[in-house]
Amino acid sequence: MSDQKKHLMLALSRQGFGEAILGLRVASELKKRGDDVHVLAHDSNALLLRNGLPHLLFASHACAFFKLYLDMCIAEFKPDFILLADYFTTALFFEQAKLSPAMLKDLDIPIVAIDTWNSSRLPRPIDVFTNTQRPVALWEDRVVPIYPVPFLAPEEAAGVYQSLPEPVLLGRKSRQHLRSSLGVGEQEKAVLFCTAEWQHGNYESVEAIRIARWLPALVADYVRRLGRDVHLIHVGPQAYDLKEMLQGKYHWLPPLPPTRFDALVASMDLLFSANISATTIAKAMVSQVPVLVLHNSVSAQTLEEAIAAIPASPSHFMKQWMENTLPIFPFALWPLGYHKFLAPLLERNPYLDALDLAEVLDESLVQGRLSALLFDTAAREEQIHRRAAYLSAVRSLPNGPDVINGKPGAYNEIPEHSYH
Amino acid sequence: MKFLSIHITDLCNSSCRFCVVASPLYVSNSVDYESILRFLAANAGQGFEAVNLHGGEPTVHPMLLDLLQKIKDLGYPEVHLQTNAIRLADPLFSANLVSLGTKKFIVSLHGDQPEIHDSQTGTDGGLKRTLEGIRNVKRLGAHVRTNTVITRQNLQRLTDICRLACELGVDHINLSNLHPVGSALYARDIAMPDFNEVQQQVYRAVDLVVNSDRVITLEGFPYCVIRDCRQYQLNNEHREIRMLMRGQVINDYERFMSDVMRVFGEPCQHCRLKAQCGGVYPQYIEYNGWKEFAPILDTSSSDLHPLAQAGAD
Repeated sequence: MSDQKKHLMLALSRQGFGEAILGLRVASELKKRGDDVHVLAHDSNALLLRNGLPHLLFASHACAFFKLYLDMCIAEFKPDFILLADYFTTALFFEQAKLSPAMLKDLDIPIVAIDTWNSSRLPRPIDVFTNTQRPVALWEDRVVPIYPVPFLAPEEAAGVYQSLPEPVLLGRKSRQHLRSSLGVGEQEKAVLFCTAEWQHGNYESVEAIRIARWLPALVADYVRRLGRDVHLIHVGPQAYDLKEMLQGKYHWLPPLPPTRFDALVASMDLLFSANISATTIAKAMVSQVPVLVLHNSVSAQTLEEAIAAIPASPSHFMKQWMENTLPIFPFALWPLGYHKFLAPLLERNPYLDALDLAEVLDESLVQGRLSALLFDTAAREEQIHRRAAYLSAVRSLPNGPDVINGKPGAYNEIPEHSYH
Repeated sequence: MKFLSIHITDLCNSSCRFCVVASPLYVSNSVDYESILRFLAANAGQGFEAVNLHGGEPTVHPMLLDLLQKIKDLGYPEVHLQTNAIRLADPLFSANLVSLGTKKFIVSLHGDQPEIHDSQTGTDGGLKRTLEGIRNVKRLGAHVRTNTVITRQNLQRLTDICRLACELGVDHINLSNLHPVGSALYARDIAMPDFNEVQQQVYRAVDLVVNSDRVITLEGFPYCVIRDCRQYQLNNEHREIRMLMRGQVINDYERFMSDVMRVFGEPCQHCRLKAQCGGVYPQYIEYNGWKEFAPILDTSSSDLHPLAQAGAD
């Protein structure tokens, strides 16, 4: 095998960009080393691939023909490796499309999988919504996992690699231009909230539909409490009906091309998220933008249960919100849940030192942290300072290609038994 | 008309919030000067009637005069310059441009008052210099076409902007539909008006310009949303445009705009003018959907604007 290697990256996620972004980050590093990368992706990822790597897209209605697309790519591109971006969503894709992962195994090509959540140590099945549990058939025996940091801890496992995005260098003039284009005045603040297709999902579960529908209103209410000088910038596939509530300070943008999105993130005063493992969090981290992540540990069937579970008497809005949303279930990934599923990965994970985490129903905590991170320079700097130590630890890790290609500190070679 | 169209720089001395190439977000120029020269040389002698230079702001390019000389040396008959005209306020600079073959200036004019123009273009004192620039090149005998991107901020001033242009002696006034890409992608919420709001303002502006014996064109509007004035659509005129954009050659720019940058929807299916109409920007549809669009089923002149009917007679 020559030094230059060919990688076929599979980005099969159908409802979010995060996994493909992780894959493209590795791909761009592989390209820098002189390797060749070709991408086979679901067409929902087209925005990320525009003007980028050579790729072949397939639509949802063609999932059943996936093997044909795969064979076409293998025949034309003749890859030395297959790179899954990522492992979990690939497994989910095969399961949902009722395809057999044997089609990958039978290729006899080493498979490297970006394992965003270190699947080997996660509890299964996954806690989804109130009591639905999602079984996901994984196939650890067939792939060599590599572990991106963030969001995993730097000490997670052999095979960790640094997956930080490049910081966005946005000049003062560009920042001002972007903010004024959005309608954010010079003395005003801008809070970014991003959603992916799966967060707008029309789920079969009533409780999922409720929390998917109502959480944005709670986010908007938290922003509204900060006063008239704060804008909520929402990037997502659909706008929410929040214009009236925020009196013109809600601005919706559809998914943006990567460079435009990166510039937007870097121009914000705060990233507000309800997805602890969102790739946008890392983007905000390297761009010096404070981050506040909402999660929920409360499980309640009734309003009384919910009120009993929160630290203080709820506001009128919160009370109504809880009534609208009941039953309330824990989530680390709104609106899916995944609270128990991700708990082992969050334990002693210094990732949490680099951001602020707040219980969504703890009004005083959320409001306090939001206000501090927006208006209190010392609080902002304190988070940035905490983050610096974390980022420094992450940057000391090998990069993806080093791990894949067996550089020091990573795999020396991909063992045959790993993929057969 | 057959012409070359060249994006010569990403940089600009304005920062328009609706800039389609997002110039204000560029801190360095990504355009290779040598690639421009190669493109010009490769297309010389092929019947191109003009070279249209744009950016960013072409007048901030340090090699602009050299470029104009080379275009002249290659035998292109004339140059059209898309500019904010700020640097044209310098009479000597304007004279140099004209003497080197710039025959037409396509000047961005987005307001008739500083608070409208300057706030949208991010230029303190920009309007004053732009107007001075227009006067300078008019004095030199150049053809001037103004281009006004219609926004929420200038919508109510559209006739006033057109009146100002007429008073300045501008030959041709073009009104553009905001194209929500580049910087305008972020500004849609505050800058992009609905077609329902635009229509009557456009009709009034057209009236004024036509009555002033100037040329008016409308650019980037689906035919049905300004159906009474559809005869003023810029793309009614056949234009063969080969464009160089950041190293990429677009051989048929008009087709590219129609096929790649715009879309047709359900209401377009029975429209008798679908073949002529360029469609609508998908980024507009993302925001407002298809509710404002309706097919044009009668293509006789009876549904045209009264002035156009008079012309048709």
